[in-house]
Amino acid sequence: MDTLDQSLLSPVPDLGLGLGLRNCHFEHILTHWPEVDWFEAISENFMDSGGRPGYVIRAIAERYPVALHGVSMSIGSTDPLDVDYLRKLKRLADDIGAIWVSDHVCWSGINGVYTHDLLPLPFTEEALNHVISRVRQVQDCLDRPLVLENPSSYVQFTQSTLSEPEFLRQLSDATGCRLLLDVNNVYVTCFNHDLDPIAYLQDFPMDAVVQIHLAGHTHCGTHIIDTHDQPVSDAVWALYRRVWQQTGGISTLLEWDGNIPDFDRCLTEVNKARRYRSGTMEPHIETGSANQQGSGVPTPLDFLIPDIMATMDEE
Amino acid sequence: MDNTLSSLQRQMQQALISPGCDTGKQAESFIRPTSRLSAEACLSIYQRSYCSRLQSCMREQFPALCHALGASVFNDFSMDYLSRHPSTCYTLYELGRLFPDYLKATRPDSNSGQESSEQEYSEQEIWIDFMVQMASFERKMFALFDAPGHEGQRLATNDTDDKHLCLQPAVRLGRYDFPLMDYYLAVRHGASPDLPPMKITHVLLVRKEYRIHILTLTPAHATFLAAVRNGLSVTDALAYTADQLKIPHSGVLQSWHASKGVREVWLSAGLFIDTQQ
Ligand SMILES: [Fe+2]
Repeated sequence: MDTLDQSLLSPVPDLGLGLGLRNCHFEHILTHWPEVDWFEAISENFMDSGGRPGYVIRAIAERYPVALHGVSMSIGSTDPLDVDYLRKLKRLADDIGAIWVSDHVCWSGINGVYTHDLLPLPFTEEALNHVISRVRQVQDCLDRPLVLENPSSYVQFTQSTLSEPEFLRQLSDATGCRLLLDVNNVYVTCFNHDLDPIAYLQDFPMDAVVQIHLAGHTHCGTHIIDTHDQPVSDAVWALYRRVWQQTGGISTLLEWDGNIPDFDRCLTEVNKARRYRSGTMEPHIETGSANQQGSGVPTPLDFLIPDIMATMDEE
Repeated sequence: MDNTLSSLQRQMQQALISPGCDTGKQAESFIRPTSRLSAEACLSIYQRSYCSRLQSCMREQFPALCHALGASVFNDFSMDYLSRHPSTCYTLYELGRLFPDYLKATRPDSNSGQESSEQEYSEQEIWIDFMVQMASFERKMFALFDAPGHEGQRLATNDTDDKHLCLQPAVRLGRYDFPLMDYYLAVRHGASPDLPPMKITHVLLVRKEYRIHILTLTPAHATFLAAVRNGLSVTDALAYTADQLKIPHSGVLQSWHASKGVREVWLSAGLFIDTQQ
């Protein structure tokens, strides 16, 4: 294994309960400086900013811990890594003193195309070795360990020979990369692939986990879609509680990306984590019930687009 | 069958960005069905998601054009555009960059082979012109939002000497055959404006302290600002404008310097930085 500075592998802090930083909340945050433990910002929204997003993230990073969370690194793609992207990402991370830099165990496209989706990888030895060598390159370039998240998945490849937890364990053992455990994605993927989420969590390399994601999903009966457009389901809270008992405290963050409510509603939702893990709030699980109220679109992307029409000034 | 990672990625990407190809039907060769869904149905979740997520990003980037066309027609244009120009950038901000060019290149009257006379300038052609120009106007607005600006440099004030005025980076000029700004603002206010009659309009977009302002310009204003942007000093650009529009130089100077005149209004709108540190 490449030598990674061991100090980078020292225990990471429990930052508490955080929220994904969203354009529609900028004004509220800059005006009220609400009490929230930390933020996670989508890297690609700020890397090239010559305008307000760049200003906002710097102002916020002066007052709160901020982690960078990317959606376009495409660590599993067979295209070469985008060195220019990595350079910009490092510059932003250094600039704002990012707590850590994360992305997903997925690929976005090949032949120069970006599908802007988190496409699943087959869990094979070939894919594992490919991702291991790319994670090493990225860590060299960023000069810090990368944090990688389990995405939601809607397909299982016939050629997979490893389970996802096993794939992630070997990846993190080989590279020293850390993991972001998205508990909602575990629930979604396991339902879609006829797997037991509790067994999945038992196999998961919890020692490498530095962060947890929570989010809402849409149950379509035959499958579940990771829509991030509603409150966290009770089934996911139950899994979260289990992870909490298994690990004893990890930075937790709520992602809300579609039909985003006001900031305080998001804060109330993530703060429920405290009560679920202490047992003062009990999840009520109804299995297999469809809740198709949202868009039914996997993690909407349009929240990444600033609403120019709403924010411009008239003559 | 080729079992490599690159072959699998080729197959899957093909199924997403070229719907209609038969990869969907080959899904069984590389995707395992679930207890509830066939391999093809699993793959189609990604296919539907690719379309609907990118369509909604396009609608967000071109809200007025989307209003003009109606969401369903706009979505069809978006998908055809993305099938010809799939995204090649890690940021979604570039997704609509080539959309105005695409609309121009694919207009149904673009290669009819004969120049239409003025009388033949049909309603359909006017409508297409409007679409193309609205797309380029909205793209300009969108790109300006996050482009480098004056922030960090000192904006000029009424006390700044003309020779120290320099156009700030976040200024865009546009000349259109329609009052696009009126249409855009009507949509913004939730109205349902009709296709406006043709009228040449000059528009200025400026971002000051991270907010975009739109100003309408007279032809003289537009000539002057274009001259400054092309490198003329303010003094020379005033003379050039008088020359070009065949208006008295003294009149141009007067409207520039008058109290509440062009200079004062534009300084307060943040058009210029002060080059004297
Ligand atoms: Fe997540």
